[in-house]
Amino acid sequence: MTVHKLIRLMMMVLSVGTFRAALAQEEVPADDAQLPKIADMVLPAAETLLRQKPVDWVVLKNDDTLVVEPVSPRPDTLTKMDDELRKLGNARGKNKEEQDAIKERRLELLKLQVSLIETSEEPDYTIETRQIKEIIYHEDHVMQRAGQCIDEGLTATAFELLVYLDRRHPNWPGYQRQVNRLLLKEAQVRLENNDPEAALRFCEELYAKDKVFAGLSEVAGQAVDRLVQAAVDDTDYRRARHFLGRLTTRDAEHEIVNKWRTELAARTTAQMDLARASAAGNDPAQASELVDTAARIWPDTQGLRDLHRELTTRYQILRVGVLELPGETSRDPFPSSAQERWRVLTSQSWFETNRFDESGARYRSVPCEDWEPDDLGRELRFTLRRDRADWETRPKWTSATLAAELSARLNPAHALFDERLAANVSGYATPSPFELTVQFRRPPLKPEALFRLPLSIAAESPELNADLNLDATATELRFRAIADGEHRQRGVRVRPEPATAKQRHVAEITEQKYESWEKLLQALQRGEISAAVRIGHVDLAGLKDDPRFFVLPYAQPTSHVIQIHPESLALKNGQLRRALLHALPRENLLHEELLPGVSREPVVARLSASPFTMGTPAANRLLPQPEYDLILSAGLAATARKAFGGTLPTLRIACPDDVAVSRTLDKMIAHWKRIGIEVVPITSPQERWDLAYRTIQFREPMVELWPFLTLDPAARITSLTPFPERLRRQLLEMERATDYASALQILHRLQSDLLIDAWWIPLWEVDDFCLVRRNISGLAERPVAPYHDVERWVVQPWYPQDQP
Amino acid sequence: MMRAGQRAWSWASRGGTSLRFWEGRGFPTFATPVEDSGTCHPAQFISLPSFLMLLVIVAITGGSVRAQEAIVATESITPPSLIDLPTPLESRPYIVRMLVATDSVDSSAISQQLAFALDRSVGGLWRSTIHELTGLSRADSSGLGRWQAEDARQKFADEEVDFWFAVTVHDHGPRREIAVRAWQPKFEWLSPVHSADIFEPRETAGRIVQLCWGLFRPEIRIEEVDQNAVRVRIPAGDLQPADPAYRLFQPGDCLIPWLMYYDRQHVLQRRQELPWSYIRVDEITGPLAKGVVLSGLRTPLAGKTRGRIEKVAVASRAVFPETTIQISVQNQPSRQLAGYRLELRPKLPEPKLADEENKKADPKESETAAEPAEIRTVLTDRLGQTTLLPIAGQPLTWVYVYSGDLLLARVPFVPGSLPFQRLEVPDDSVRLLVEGQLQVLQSELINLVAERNTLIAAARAASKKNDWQRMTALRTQLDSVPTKQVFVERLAGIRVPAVAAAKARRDRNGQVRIERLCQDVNELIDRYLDLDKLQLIKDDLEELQKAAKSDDAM
Repeated sequence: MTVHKLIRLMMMVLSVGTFRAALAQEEVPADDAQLPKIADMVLPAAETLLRQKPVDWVVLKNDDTLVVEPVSPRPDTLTKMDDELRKLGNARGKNKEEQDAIKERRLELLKLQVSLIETSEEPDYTIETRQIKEIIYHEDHVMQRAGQCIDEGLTATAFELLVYLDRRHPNWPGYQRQVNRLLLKEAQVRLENNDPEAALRFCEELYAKDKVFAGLSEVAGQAVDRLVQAAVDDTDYRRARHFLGRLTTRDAEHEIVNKWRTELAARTTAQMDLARASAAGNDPAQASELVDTAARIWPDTQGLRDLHRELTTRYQILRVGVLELPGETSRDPFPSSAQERWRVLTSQSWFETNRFDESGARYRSVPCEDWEPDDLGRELRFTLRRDRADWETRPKWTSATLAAELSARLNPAHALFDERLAANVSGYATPSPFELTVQFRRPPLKPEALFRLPLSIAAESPELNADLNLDATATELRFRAIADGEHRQRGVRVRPEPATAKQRHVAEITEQKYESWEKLLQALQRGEISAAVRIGHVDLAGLKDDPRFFVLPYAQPTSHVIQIHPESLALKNGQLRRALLHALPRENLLHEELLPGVSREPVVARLSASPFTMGTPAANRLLPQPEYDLILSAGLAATARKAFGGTLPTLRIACPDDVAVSRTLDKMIAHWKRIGIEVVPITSPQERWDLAYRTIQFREPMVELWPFLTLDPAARITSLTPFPERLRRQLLEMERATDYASALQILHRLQSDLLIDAWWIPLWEVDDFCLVRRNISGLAERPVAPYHDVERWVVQPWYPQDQP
Repeated sequence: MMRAGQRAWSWASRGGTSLRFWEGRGFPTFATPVEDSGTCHPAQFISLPSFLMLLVIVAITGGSVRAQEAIVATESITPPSLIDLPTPLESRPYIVRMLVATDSVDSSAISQQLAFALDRSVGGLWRSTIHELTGLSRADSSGLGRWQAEDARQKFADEEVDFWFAVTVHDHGPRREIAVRAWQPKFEWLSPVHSADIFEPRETAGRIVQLCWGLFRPEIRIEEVDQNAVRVRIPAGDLQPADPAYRLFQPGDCLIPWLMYYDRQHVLQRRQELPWSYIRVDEITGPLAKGVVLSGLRTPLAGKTRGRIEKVAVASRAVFPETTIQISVQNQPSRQLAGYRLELRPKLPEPKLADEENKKADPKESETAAEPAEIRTVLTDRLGQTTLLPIAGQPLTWVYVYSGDLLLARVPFVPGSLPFQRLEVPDDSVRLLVEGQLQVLQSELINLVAERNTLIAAARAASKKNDWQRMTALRTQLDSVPTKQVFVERLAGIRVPAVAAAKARRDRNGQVRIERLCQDVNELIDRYLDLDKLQLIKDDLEELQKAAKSDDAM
């Protein structure tokens, strides 16, 4: 409305007098020619509607239009007034007062009270209702403008207007239709913008409001068609089924649904045919893979279930989700958990850990069925296994192999020379192909721990193990590792189960890498994988309650410890080491940084005073927890600074590529910085480091402590050189101890000394869990490592049939 | 575990076996009748010129009663002809017997060639005879290598022979393998097998002689010992080899001293090798030589020997490719000391010579006298062993054994002279235990001092900011830190039982070391936990607080 028109309107209103005067005498504007006609009125812009004062238009019978403040009641003002007037009818009051009131009300209902806008004085007037042709409300303006916006494709403005309208007056007549139009328009716009998924979302919303809305079916069909096509092109059939499912639930007979249902079923059938062909061609691995793929295309296909059972039982594939694969580059100089996992999966050892409980590690031997001590423990007589079960992957060994392995480790010129073993073993003999006797200089405390040697079949004749996979290396004696792209690694049995085997077991393990635990969990829920080697603690409780999965605790928790490099010049300073130790608020770091959001009950992590598993005899229970003492650590840092001539050297720390650990380490570095110690993480494994964040499991602390401290796997005497005399002596004494109690006593003393002098910084130990789907059987109750006894696992046929 | 040919020495003496050797006793003159003519020990006689000189001196000076009696006796007996006199020690060649076994080779030809070769090389140093070696199933090195000392003792029974050599010559196609093994009856020493391969048969005899000479161990008589200086007489020292390369000794050669115990009939009762001791020949003048005693013992050859004890020394040469040296605890050979640091030095310590006697020895000086580059450091392995390799031009090596920074033993050794040698050192486990406990105590002391200093600094900073509430809190913390008395008591708790344990083991050195270590820590406690200084600081803080309060009141 222009300023000129407003002035005219004001003049007109002044001519009709005040509101109170109007009550006494009915008057109309004297100069109606000056009022704008409805045809001349311009619909306010969206901005005006949203930002400026709302106004109604009162259109008189002569099409003159008054712009007034919102009238009341609304909407349908005239109808409501007329209805009330009709209700009053011939009502008479009981007394004078009532009669006057009724009379007064009748008069009121014959006139509409309006307030003209933008008048400085006397804005209130009445207009006889009979002279009013219609009232165009502010809401109607909003609605009209929204409709225009929708038509013009200005969906955001339209949305804003409709939200405004709904907030101002819910359920305004015509609002719902306009909303539906907007939803459809939004879907169309998204579709035009090549965002069919968003379009589908709008369609779904519209389906919920009005499933027969004109144009909805067509738009929804287009969106789903595009989505399914893209998913099928990506061979992501689950995604395709997901979108189809969404449309099916809203319009089961939609032509697009029928089209793709037919198409996917046909693809499934074709895949099944291929699987049958592969099976017939004696390629059970491919047949199993193909039929499983078929099951993931269209699970409801006729005959699929039986074929899937048949082929996947014959060749069982275990799909596992991981966050790290062994071939990845890492900044950590130590073998990653993935490398360690695959080392165990692929190799066979003379002795391997079978159980781990409060007494420590228990062993079994794969090649030997019996080992008997003789000569008061100075001799050990090994008897090798002659027979082999169908499920076993191990090769056939003779004593020649074991003797060759032993010989290599006793020979100082050999790359595998083991100084410790050589010092213990005085000789060996092979009385027969299945017997080996080993003589010791002194009876070993635990011979099994001494003989945890990885074996090979290099010394065996190929004829003896003709059934082994020829592609496997001499040390791949369980599963053969096959890299399969950047995000996948496969492990295949080196010795396939014979065709006559009644019960088949896992033949192949496929590890699929995911970016994060959340993605891995999603894959687990979707049925893409059937196991996870380590689960996130934050979802532990939920997964334990999930009836689809077994959550198995590992037999041994993982210890987290900060290791000191024995050759680090800076950390030869004891004050600096102790300053590092006492500057860490471990409790806080554990719960706030490493395991944020994880409930403290049940306990899954606890502070530790040594990296040996708490509760086992090896751990010194009397050891007090290192205290967080900022004053002490600042004092020690100051003392160390003095020793370094006023400036502390910058320390470098190695760290595994784990998100939670990295986060915790960042916080640790901040705490060390508070006391003036600069620590920076290394960026490549070749870089020199002074400290290392290690996540480790000590199976045999008495044997493994030396290599751990010295970083020398061969535990050579020379590797002890950087350590103080007393520490060296104790390590040697422990190794030479002839009885377990003495060795344990020394081990406890060592832990105490190492802690007091901060040769390591124990942090905490964390219980880890693995997860497997319930269709997998043969699992150990408390596995000591991922894939514990995996040769005996059975994967029951299963594929996801839920609606994705 | 000892192998054949090994020997073990501790600081204590070792026994030996008896062997009938020389009869007679003392140091006889010509007047002493020779009981077993022809087999008298040469050392029983003084040389003829010396004897005549003695007569002249005695005649001029009148001499002692005993000398006069000797003269009387001499006068009463007709002087013997010089031809009848026994051959003096210096002029008596070594009696060597070579036994040769051959496969497919004419042994008589070999013997003949060998005799010629010996004449051309060793010459008169040896009076050698060559015989055929029998009893070997296979005339090669493996056959010789199977012999033990007992086998040699039985096979080589002739007492007159000083040195035996068993030689095998075996043809492998064009290659000829020569193997030699030696047996020295006097010291019951059976050498390792030395062998060589040749392709030129004419070299056979020459190579045999070379191998035999490599195993030959000449001996000396120790005549005089003065502190570390010795004067020795060389048997066959007056004789010259045909080839100068075959001289008996050269300056710098090292010999192992032995004590030979005889009975009245001059029958060898037992022999004793002096452990970790050598005589180094420095100056050779004909049959006489001067040398020094190099030993891990204080005075191994000091003191006068009784008449029936003879001091001899036998050449120590690197006849084995290496020597495994094992370090174990004294009197507990089964307790091998793994991970002990050994320093191998070429020179030190030089023995104190007579003219240096009065000079006060400075042990530090002697410790640092060797060039650092010449010092090699090795660690004993888990069996307490390490391997010493012979070094060309450096026959003797000084072996220093350390426990931490403490020197446990310092001994000389000729690497390669034995296949295995055990060195027993004192047990320092108590000291190590104390050292560890003191280390812990020191760590705690440092912690305490660091914490206390930080608290003091923080309290002072708070007082400067007039933050008296924080200052009071810090002061309270300062009062709660452990006192000096706590550390003194803990130190006593370490010292007393350790000293008692050392006393119980009669380990005087250990006791002294423990006392010294504890004393050092005690000084640290005194220095850093001085109560007076701490009280002064506390008083200062209180004064500051009082002053601030009074300022506020004003």
